[in-house]
Amino acid sequence: MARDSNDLWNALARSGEAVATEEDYEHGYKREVRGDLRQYVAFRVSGESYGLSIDQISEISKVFETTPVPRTADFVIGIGNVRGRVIPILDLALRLRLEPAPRGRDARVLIVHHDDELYGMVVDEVLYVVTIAPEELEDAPGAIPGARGEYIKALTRLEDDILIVLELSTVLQTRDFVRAEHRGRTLKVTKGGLA
Amino acid sequence: MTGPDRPSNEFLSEAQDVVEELSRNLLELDTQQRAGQQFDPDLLNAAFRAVHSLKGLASLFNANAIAQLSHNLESTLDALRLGKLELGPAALDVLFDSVETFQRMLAAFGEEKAAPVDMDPLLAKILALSGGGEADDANASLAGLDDSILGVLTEYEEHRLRENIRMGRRLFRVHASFDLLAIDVGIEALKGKMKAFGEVITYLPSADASSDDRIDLDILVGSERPLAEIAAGVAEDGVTVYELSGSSGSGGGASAPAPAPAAPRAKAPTPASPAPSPPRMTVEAIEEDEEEEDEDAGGQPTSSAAPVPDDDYADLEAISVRSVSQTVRVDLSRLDHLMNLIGELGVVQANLGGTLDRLRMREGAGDMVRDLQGHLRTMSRKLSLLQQGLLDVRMVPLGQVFDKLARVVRQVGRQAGKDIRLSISGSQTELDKLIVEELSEPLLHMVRNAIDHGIESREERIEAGKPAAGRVDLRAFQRGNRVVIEVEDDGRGMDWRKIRETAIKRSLVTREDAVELGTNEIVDFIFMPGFTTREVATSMSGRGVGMDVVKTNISRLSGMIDVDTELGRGTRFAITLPVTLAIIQALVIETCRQTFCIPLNSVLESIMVRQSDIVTVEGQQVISLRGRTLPLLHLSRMFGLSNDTRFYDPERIYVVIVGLAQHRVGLVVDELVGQQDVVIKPLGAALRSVPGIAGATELGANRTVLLLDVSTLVDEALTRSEVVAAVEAEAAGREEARPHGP
Repeated sequence: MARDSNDLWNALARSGEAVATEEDYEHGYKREVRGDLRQYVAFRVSGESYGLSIDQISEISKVFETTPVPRTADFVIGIGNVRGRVIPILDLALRLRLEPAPRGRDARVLIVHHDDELYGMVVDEVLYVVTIAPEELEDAPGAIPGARGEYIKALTRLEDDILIVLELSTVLQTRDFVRAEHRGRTLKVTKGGLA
Repeated sequence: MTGPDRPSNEFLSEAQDVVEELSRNLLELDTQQRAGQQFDPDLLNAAFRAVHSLKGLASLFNANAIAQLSHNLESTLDALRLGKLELGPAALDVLFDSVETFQRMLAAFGEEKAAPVDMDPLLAKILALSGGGEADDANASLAGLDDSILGVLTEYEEHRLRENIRMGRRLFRVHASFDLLAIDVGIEALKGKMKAFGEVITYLPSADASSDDRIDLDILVGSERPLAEIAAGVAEDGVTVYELSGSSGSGGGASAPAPAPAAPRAKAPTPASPAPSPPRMTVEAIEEDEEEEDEDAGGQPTSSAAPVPDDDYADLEAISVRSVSQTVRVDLSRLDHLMNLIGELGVVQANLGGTLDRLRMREGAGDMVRDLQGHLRTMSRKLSLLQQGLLDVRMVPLGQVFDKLARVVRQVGRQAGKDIRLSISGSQTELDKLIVEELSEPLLHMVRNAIDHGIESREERIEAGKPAAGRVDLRAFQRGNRVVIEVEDDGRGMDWRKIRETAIKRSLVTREDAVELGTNEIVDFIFMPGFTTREVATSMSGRGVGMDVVKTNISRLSGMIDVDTELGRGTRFAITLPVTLAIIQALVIETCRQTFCIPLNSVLESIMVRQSDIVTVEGQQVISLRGRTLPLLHLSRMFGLSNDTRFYDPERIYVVIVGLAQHRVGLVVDELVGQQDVVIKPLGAALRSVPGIAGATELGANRTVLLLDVSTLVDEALTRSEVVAAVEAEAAGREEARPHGP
């Protein structure tokens, strides 16, 4: 019996049709079926609103204890332990070269994943989750003056706010983590290079 | 898609084992052949069996190309062991080639994207080999041997029999009687004795069994020795030796009544071995059913006393499947996961200890505290047993790598046209699987270097009065909680003057500073990046090519590498490694209120000095320890930590002596906290490259602490030439002072 319903479910899933869920029924089955809508988590850093796609964030945690790591860039607060994994924690304000605001009770650590690694980013406050369609994103990082442009993926105008969507690949550029004078001493060894 | 599925993983690891065994056998045959000895037929036989098992395995798992190649190879090996083909260098080459091909095929197996390995050239070579002139199986007379013996011999046994006669050996019949229950042990022991005299051709069940709980065997042995000697050599209860009249030897000898062998299956109770058999059971099921088993092949005890001709393939498959279930192969990442859990349990335990201490402060809880303390102690004991057990599971013998290296030596030696004698010791030394894996490339590189650049050409060697064949030694041994691996050659060694010139040319050091350096420091330049280019290689006869890469790899494993070289005599590299990386013992220290761990395997000792013991030589602080001058490093300065002097007590300065051999420095720290077993966790991609930090670990109370990479710190200190110069100057000063002393 269970087998049959499973098969139906799978068949629907395979055919690419949206399968109505319990939730859909509860909400009167009015949910807009659009595959390209994406949810963003908005957070505040030094008075500005930033956003990251919700699937880049694996959890949001209260600020926890970190251990400083010598020879790292100023924005690296240190390392912290998240569910048994040791991950680098960075101060997003310093990373974005903003004036850091005093860390208050609302400060949170966004645990994000990028390139199979976890990172923690301390933000002043987590604001809200918002759904944004791709056409609402402005591909205009040039609008933000200065060197910060490289960290910005897109902008979007909300009713009463401008949300800056971050580009994780530059924000988490690994070579920037080590202070310049200590870089390059360790060598990259390619597999098979010795064969 | 997820990785290859389980069955194919099983196939891969099993097949890998078989190929490795094949490779081992071939290497040994190669050694024997090059030493000009008669090859050991058992080895060839074992190789044949390995290929046969591989064939069975491959067809079981639908690895058709591998099955096809093994099939072809099996025929060749069969021809070789039956003497139809001659086992010469050409044949060995093809066989080694097959090992390589098998390995490439296995690597490609299960990866859909991988291009199929082209085995046609190899097949052609195998074919060419088989087509080559057939060695004549000398039609030595078998006259005088009872037909009843000849009738039950397999083709292979008959061939060995003829071989023995052709070699002019005498034939003996060894009659032995074994207790049914102890037959496996007995036969092994007897076989070991007999092998010293000659070759065991076959085991036949004897008709004159004395009682029901004993088994009598007639063992056919070929030997050059006289009867009396053999009889004395194998003397044992229930063993008698007769010489067979048909032997070609001196012809005489006590002619005994020929044994009357029973029909193969007539009376062959197959005593099941009571001991659990090691997982290499596939070798048992082969058509010819060889009784002999290599002791080193795992010693599946001889299970049948009689030859059981022509097992069919159904049997083979049944047995292969059974062997798969004998061992469990586990993905390393799963073990890592378990290891992490144990580490976390350790933290929980430490926290419990803390709670216990607080509980002790309370009144009226005495009994419960004692109870809790007892339980906690038991738990910590079990926990450390669990941890040790898990570590043991991860251990693999270094032989795995050494075997691979032996093949490389052979191959590189042939390419370079150099005759290389490789001697290996300590293959059974065990290291964490992860380390062994990471080690294979650096070792491969060093061995290649030794052959390509270290060992001179034949002519050069003879001119220098050395043996024509170069020697490469691979040694491994355990020293305390470390493992030392040495790669030594007897080649031309390195010329420190040339290294110095190159270092100056590459601006690794200024000419003025270079003059001050001792030879050891100069030779260490080969580990510097920039000492890697070909141009350098040719101008300084090439040692040290890529040694920086080797060094980086080794220090990533918390290991250290040392070099010792003498011009014209050879070079020795010594790698020192921790036994495991997953859990290490660490010295916990504090400096500037920050806690760090230092791997205990790089700590030589910790001492306490006074400010007045510290001397400043050319701006560098040094102390003198048992006649040696050690540069002092302040961890706080190297790491740019706040220079808080509140903890500084000029009467109690803690110095941790770290390093190896000639590279020693003293790390100045504020506090020695203690020793602890710690689970090392990686720092992740972003912080991995921070020099001087090897990883992180958790101490109790959810504290994350950094683990120092001592080898990098020591290097950093020593490559700052002023330090070296200061130490040198100091040493020179003492040197000068000595002659004037009393």
